[in-house]
Amino acid sequence: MKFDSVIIGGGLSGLTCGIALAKAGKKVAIVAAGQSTLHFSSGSFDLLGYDAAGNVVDNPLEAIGQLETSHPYSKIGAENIEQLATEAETILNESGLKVKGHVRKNHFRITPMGIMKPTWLTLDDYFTSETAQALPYKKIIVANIAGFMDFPVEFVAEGLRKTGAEVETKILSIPALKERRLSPSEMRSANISKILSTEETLQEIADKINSCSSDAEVVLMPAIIGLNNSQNVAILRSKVQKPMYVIATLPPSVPGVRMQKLLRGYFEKSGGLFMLGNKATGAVIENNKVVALTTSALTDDNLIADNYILATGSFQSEGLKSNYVKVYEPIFDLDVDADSQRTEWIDENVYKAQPYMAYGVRTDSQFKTQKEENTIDNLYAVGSVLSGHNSIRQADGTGVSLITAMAVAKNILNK
Amino acid sequence: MNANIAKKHYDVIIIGGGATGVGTARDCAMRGLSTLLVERYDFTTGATGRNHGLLHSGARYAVTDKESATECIEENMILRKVARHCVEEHDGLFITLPEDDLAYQAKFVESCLAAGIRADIIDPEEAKRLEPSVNPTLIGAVRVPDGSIDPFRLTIANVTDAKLHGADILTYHEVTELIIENGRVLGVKLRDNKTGEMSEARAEITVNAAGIWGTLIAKMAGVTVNMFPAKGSLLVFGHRVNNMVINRCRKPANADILVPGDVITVIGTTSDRVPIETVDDMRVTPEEVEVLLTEGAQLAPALATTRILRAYAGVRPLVASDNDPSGRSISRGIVCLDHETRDGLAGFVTITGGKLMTYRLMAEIATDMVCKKLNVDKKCETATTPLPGAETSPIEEPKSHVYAFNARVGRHGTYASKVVSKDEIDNALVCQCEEVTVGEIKYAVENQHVSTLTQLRRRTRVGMGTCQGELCALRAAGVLCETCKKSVSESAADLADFMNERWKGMYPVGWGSTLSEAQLMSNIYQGLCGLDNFSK
Amino acid sequence: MAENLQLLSISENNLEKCLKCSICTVYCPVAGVTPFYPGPKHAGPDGERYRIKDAVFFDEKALKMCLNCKRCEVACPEGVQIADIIQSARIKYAKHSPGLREFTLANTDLVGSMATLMAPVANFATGLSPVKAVLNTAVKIDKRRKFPAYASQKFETWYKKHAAAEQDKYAKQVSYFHGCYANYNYPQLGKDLVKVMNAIGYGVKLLDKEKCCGVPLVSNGFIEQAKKQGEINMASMRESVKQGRPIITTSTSCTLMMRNEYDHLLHIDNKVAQDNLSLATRFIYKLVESGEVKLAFHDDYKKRVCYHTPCHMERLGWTVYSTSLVKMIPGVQFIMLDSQCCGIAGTYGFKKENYEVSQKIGEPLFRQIEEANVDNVITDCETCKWQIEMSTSAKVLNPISILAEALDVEKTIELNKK
Repeated sequence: MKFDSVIIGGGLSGLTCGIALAKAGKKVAIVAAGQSTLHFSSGSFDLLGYDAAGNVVDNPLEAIGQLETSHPYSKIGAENIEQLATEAETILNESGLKVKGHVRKNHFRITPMGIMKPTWLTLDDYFTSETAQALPYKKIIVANIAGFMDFPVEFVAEGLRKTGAEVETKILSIPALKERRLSPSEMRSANISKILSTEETLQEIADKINSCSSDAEVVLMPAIIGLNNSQNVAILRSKVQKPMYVIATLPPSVPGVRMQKLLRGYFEKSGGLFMLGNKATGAVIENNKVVALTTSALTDDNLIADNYILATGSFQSEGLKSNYVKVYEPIFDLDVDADSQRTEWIDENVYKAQPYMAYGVRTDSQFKTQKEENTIDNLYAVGSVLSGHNSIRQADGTGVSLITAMAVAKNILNK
Repeated sequence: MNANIAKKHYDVIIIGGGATGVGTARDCAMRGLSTLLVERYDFTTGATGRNHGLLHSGARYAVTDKESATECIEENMILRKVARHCVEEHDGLFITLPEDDLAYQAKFVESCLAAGIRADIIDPEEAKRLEPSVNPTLIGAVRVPDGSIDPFRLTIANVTDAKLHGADILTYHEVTELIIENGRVLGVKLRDNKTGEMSEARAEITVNAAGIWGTLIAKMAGVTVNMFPAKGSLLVFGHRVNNMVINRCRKPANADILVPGDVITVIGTTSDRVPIETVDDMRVTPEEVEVLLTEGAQLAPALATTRILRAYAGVRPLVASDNDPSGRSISRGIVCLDHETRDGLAGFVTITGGKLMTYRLMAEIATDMVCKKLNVDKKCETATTPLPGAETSPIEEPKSHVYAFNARVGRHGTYASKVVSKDEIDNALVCQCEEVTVGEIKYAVENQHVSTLTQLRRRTRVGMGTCQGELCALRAAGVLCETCKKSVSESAADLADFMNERWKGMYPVGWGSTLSEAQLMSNIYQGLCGLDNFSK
Repeated sequence: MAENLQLLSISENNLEKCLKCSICTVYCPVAGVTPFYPGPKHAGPDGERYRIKDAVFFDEKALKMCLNCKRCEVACPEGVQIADIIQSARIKYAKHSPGLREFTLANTDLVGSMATLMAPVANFATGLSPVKAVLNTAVKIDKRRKFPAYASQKFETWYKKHAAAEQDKYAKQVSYFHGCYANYNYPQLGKDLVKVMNAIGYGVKLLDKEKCCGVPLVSNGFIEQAKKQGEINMASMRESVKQGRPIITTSTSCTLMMRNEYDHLLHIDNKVAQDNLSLATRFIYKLVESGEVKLAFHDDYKKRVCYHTPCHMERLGWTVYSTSLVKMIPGVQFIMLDSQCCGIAGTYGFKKENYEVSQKIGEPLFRQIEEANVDNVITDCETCKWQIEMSTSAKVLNPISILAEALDVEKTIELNKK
């Protein structure tokens, strides 16, 4: 099958890059070996949360100028980031993901452990704060669903209390979930969400919340509404008398699943072909150009394209692999930036910077990859598979995904 | 510390919460002695919690150390009865590979039989049929009554029974000093390692059962017990590769025992002499990993391509007798020292040497000595009295369709029914890999000296599975925080420590799926949740 | 062996690659509608570690609830074959011998041939309430379930009488693995296939011997029989390939079973199927895309259709071929439904104990179909067709059938002559 561009990987970077290309009229296919890390989403997109010393970044755009030259942002140039960030934000909004936040000013999200982390954009139904020290509300109720263990409600409440707010926790016993609670292994966000998806169940939740929140200024609950229907959160909010926001849970992330669906939907609506469960297995490379991609499902039917984009993610997504002797990129065997000695990959303190986190494929300023030190002219890399950034240390993972996706789409369109 | 404990005058204080210490406490309590056990951290934090979990048949020592071999097989048969819920009876193979001397096999079998160990030579083809994972190039095989034993369950069963017989147990109480007056040990000075509070406890006899740390306790008493710290490293594989223990039929060497235990397989060990100052922080080196893998793949080739979950190391508490740097020619023999006759220090006994397999016998010997000193004439009954959880057999019919029930029976034996299970919330799984329920956590908190995640792991296996705590650690932290009425900041610091402790076992084998798992774990805990090193 | 030291991680069905991320549980249709199924992760890789330890951990009742839809496998980022872990466990540990109900549901070809002989009686009888009541109580097939109708003439019989003789006149030929459904229940699909293939210049032959692919046998516990039949199918396919005829089918589940599962589930050498077996839509699409074949359609053909992705099509990853082919028909207004399970999963939904779960799973799909307001639902799976037709007002067609409807045969023959 022939395309203008074939993207390997159907997560945040692959999809947004695909959307940008498809919107420009290109024929684009995405092959995705499985579902993506969007399923672990916090509900936010981080551009740059911490500087190299670990200090909270207030204005990401300013701080990007201080990054090391190996960082993907540095290849794009600090001066170009704002434009790309705007484009990414536009794509998110057009996909149906309403976000809040500004590229020149980080805000704070509240984690499932009640910790404030700086971020760039957050889904508009999430609870956020302009500063880490004070919240916009003083009297808060955090309500969890009875039997839902993936939202440690006391941790969240305690975190909020640190800002001086008065926080009460409530456990909502929703009759519709009575049967679900019988499952010892599947009382999980996604399954709860599937049940809490009808008008009646949303009304039930709202009634419970309304009956216990008369003193509160705001009600917070775990992000478990709206797996299949993005309207459900809005419906619930309309039924709750007080302002209501959600806070991220442990995976799977319900809003993350929704993001995946909405982005895929927008990609397909823009004319793209999304092939889930199809794993890229190898490629034919001639004269430093990829001429064909082989996949697990389409045997004897190679994918042919002018340009290929590697958006396969890091180790946890199998974009990078490692074994006893090396770190490698499994589809093309591209050159990677990684230490050769296994003992150098890790630090024995899990809370220190783990070198492996910054490993990835080596690219030039255009994000063209290389193999055996030769640049591959039509194979680009985007997102977490890129080397040179540690998203745990700097809170820049989703930002790198979005910004490099936009940059590569532009590079290809300008070719 | 409980004020009653300070006021009491005990018959006996036992120092050390390993298998030997808790076994001695149980034995003493069963013989009617008023007993206090003190442990500086948690149970099983020394060699008890850091070995193969092998229910030795004794065959391994048959050729070189008949006495140990005989002790092993006798204890082996006893433990199958009194600790049946901690034991898996699957037998073991001693295999001869083409590069080994097959003549050794005859000598081996002869020595086993002489020590009273059943040893059947079987056809290599039969061996392959019995244990499909075995190296197919084997040229000889002997079947012996090896098995596996869960040292965590074993220890906690002893603790439970000691308490049922009236013993007092203090964990997180470290002996800082022995109280000595007029050539007699009168008791111990203790520091509460959680609060820093100091206290004293007094008894007629103090038993030093502190494993490798016993050398330091002896030093406090002004006597010398030369110990021989021999570090042994082991690797845990992701699932049960073999269903029988696999050993090499040759003179004992590195990494020649492969033990299936619960849902995993363990290969070990290496053996290296280490300085006593280092025994509190054992790390597995890349060289040790290499040896374990290379040698392990000789026993079962599948190990070369099987995921490794973690690496760990323990220190054998051997009593030094010569300068063999490998530590292997030393007998694992039991050493029970009466310091009154040996050093002129009354009221002080050291029980050391031995091995997990002979913990009960060691306890019996030490208790016999204590009783003799106290003029108590009561016979030891631990060889015939089942531990709590092991009273009947079969323990309980397996139940279909009741989640975690079979896993729970495996961990608690007849005590499975005591695990809290009053509603669906109690039955919810916190750790799916190891099938640990909310109710089991509550039970551990109420009955098994648990207030931290690491303690909980030792009691329930929470976080010991494939993912090493990827989702369950935070769930468990939430349940613990609520059940123990801990503060959130304390719980968060505990979680931070727990994750670093998990990492300590993962990084030496940080490649392949384990590295991917580590990344996912970091992304969830540090990225999504914002966990950091709160305790520092 | 040392040279391979930890370079590769090998475990059956990639068991050990599971990172416990739980993504699979989001996409499990069963776990979403009943609390009694432990979910793919727990029934699959988690449970397998325990089952390896001791068969006592095999929870037959829970594992039986797995539909084998394989959506967990499609979702898994690490390539863990979750459904295959569950199926293998059922094959390995199941203690209960299958009963009359399982026999009835599993032996689609035997029961099918008997039923065909007496189709009017069979259809009448299976539709009759006393008979349904017997099925419900004695055989435990749910009485609310509409039984697929049996045709009065098998496809094979029709083929021999009306089509076989003409097939040799085509220079290029394929073998058609029609499967039980086209043979016994819906011969029209087979006829449509012959029509389309002939129009594009391909003769259609049958395999020397065709047996049921084994999907219903495996899910109902007849493993040995499935193996025997699989061997026969593979031998027939090898013979077909030797004679220059690749094999095409119109059933996604048969294809997935023979092409992707024979080897690791039943230990049958299926290389011939991996290399030469294809869905007809894929076969035709590739001919069209490469320019080897051209299609002409009736100018006045107009239809509004929606496509339902069968679970096993999702697993095959071939949806694109069927949808692209249907989209080539100029008069077709095409709507893509969300890819989700219809709930039937072969014989699963026929069982009394599964009926409620089955219908609950399908509910969102049925709703979407009713809202789509289409002339036809298009899908590549026969059991999805039964389920959708029973549960909605829609009439369901295989893409080959809609192609046959829309195809201007004369013009197509003409186009392909040049």
